Amino acid sequence: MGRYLLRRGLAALLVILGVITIIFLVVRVIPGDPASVLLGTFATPELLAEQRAKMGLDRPLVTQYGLFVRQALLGDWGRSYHEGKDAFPLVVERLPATMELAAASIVLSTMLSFVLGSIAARWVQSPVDQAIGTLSLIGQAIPNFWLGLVLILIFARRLHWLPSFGRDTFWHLVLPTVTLSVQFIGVMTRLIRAGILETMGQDFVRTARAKGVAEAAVLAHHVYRNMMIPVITMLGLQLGALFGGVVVLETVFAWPGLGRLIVTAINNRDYPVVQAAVTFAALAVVLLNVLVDVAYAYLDPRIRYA
Amino acid sequence: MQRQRVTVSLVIAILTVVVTVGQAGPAIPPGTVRVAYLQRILSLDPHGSSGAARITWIVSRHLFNRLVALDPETKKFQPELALRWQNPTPTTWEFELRRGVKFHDGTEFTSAAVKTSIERVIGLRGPLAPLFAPVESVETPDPYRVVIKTRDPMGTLMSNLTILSIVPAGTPMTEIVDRAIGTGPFKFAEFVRDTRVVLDANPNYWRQGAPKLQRLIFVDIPEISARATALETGEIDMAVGLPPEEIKRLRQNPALKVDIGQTTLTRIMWINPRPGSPLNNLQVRRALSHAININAITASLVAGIATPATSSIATNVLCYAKMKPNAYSTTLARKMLAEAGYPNGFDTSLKWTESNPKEREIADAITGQFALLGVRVQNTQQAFAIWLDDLLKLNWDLELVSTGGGTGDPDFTLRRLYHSRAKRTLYTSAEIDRLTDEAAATIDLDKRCALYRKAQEILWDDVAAIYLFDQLEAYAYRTRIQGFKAPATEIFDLSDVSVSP
Repeated sequence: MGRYLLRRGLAALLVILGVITIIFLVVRVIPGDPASVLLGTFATPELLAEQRAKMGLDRPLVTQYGLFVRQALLGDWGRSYHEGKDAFPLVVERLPATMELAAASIVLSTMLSFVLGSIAARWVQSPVDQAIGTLSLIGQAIPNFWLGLVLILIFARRLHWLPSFGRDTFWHLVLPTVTLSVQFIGVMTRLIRAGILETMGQDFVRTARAKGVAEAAVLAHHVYRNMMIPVITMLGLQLGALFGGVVVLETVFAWPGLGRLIVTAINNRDYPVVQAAVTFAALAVVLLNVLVDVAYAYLDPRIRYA
Repeated sequence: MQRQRVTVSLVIAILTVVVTVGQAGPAIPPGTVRVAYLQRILSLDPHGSSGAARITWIVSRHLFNRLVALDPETKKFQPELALRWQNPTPTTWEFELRRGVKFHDGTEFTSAAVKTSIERVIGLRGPLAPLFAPVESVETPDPYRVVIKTRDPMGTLMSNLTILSIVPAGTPMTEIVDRAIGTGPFKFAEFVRDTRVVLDANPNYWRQGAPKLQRLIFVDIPEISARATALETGEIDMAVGLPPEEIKRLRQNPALKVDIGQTTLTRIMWINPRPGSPLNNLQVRRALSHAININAITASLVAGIATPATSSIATNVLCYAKMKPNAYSTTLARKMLAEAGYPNGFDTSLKWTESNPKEREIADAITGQFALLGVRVQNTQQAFAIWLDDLLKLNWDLELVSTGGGTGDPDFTLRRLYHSRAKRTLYTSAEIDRLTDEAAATIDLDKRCALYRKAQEILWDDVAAIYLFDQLEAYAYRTRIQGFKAPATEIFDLSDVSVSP
């Protein structure tokens, strides 16, 4: 296990280095000049040249890259061009808001998916199963920014039940969480339903029932645990998509998280912030995938990473 | 039974937590106004890299004071932190300062603060720096007297001082993002990035009776429809800069009021007369100016938030002079185009970005109207950074932009954008260069205005751009806000409004 983790750790480091390099190049390849965005339509050629020099953008690309990697290794991700603060603390400052939204969405969608998936599997081919199947498909198909706007219109503007924007109270979390979860629930429900149905037909389930184990205990101890591998895999894969969804939804709901920071930084060509935020997001996804692999071993004792 | 009791207790516990957490949000104290604007607040430093952003000016209007203010109705400069001023020589300006004014940190406002502020705006090399470049020195003969010396006569000094926020003496020469100390009606309380800026009333404000509010909160809501919704639900008290369709809907709501104010901004379509391009031909540009139905655009697409432009600067900019409108006539335009040698039109491109309301619809309308002449327009929306890059590199034929604003001085538009040194368009005119240079170096306002009138006539006749409309600003607010008067420029001030409980 130790060797496996070491190997995974090294691979993760390579991935992070790749991400750093790609993001460094990509932000510089896309058109747009950070100095002109900073000065806006007030830019004069002299001020622009001064700003570019101040930002270090007048140096050759290779020099810029070398400096960037060296500084990043020392923990210095540069200073945001627009926000007047160091890029990394800016990213860390935004993390709790995004984590809160992501965690709430994972909890809600996992719980609901298990309930809906189990109901659909229990009454397979019934109208309830078909209704859940249809809703899951719709959930997967709805673009979440559109759903967010519709939910705001209904629950904030018309019914006045929930706040429409911001992050101050528990109630502010409701609409963004629901919006972010709908696609996730759609995917997971179908997966869980299929997993339960497949496991239910296994010999060990029949044996457990034959031994007189209660149906709830059969589900909890035998069925759920054995169908968790594909579910955990999907959970890991969906986390990346979840981050993508957060980027859009944070703007719709004025949620002050990492997503909004990234969108603004890209629009403003704020290279240090984009680099720090994307690297951080990549790091999070890589770590979560390692956790998923470790979870495999826990869930299925037959899996050993020798 | 036992199990049921546990379940019931659990449900009650969860509900209690949910309700308690739900109520744990920030309580809104009485006398608070929450306002949402269409720009994001990046920095509270009035002199730094965000110093030219409209939202910075609006927040600064509440946190800081200036030496002088411009009364847009009388077009006269009014005392603010300076009580009196004179210019004994064309390059010397003396200001007598108000006494007994204190900064929010308790230090006294003196001439040293003025010196720091001017030196800081120049030294930080932000977008406002060029406005003060002609300043040679700032002398402080005594704590209540300032002498500003300029290298050459500077006709724009008074106008430029209307946007110079005064910070305490000794404020460091580095950008201060989230701490601001001024002498204004409100003092800084909190800045939560991408969420809100909270300002509390300054109880020691020098102007009697202001501010009437206890607290002013600038709330950040990026989505336009979300801003309108938040206003309707009472989550905010005022939304500024909403589009016509939202304004129309909000007017139906008895709990809301919508006021329309003027701005110093003009929306234009810039024309780049590249050598060899049809747009280099004056007759072609004139033909195009007859091809756009500006009245139809202002009556429908931007109804209620625009009036047709009548010059290259907006009506309430200093020295504005009304020009004769170009009649809309496709027939005339087609005839002029044929005379210019383009009977079958030509290919061109129009670039724009979504930084102004209804830009897409306006670009579509212009593209359609030009098609009637056979002018085939490649209508291109660009991301702001790309649009700006192309704009500054002159990589465009036609551009939709908003010009003006700022100091309310014609120099801010006419010399900053149309002087050949500015390199904002390939349109150049030796006469425009001469007139705007001379006007900038002229102190007497009447003489300056005579020069700017000529410059406006030349720009209008040469069709350096097609001047579409003067922008208006919509202020939608809840009726609990009292005493609000839509300002004559886009920079609003809420220090004289109050709220009913």
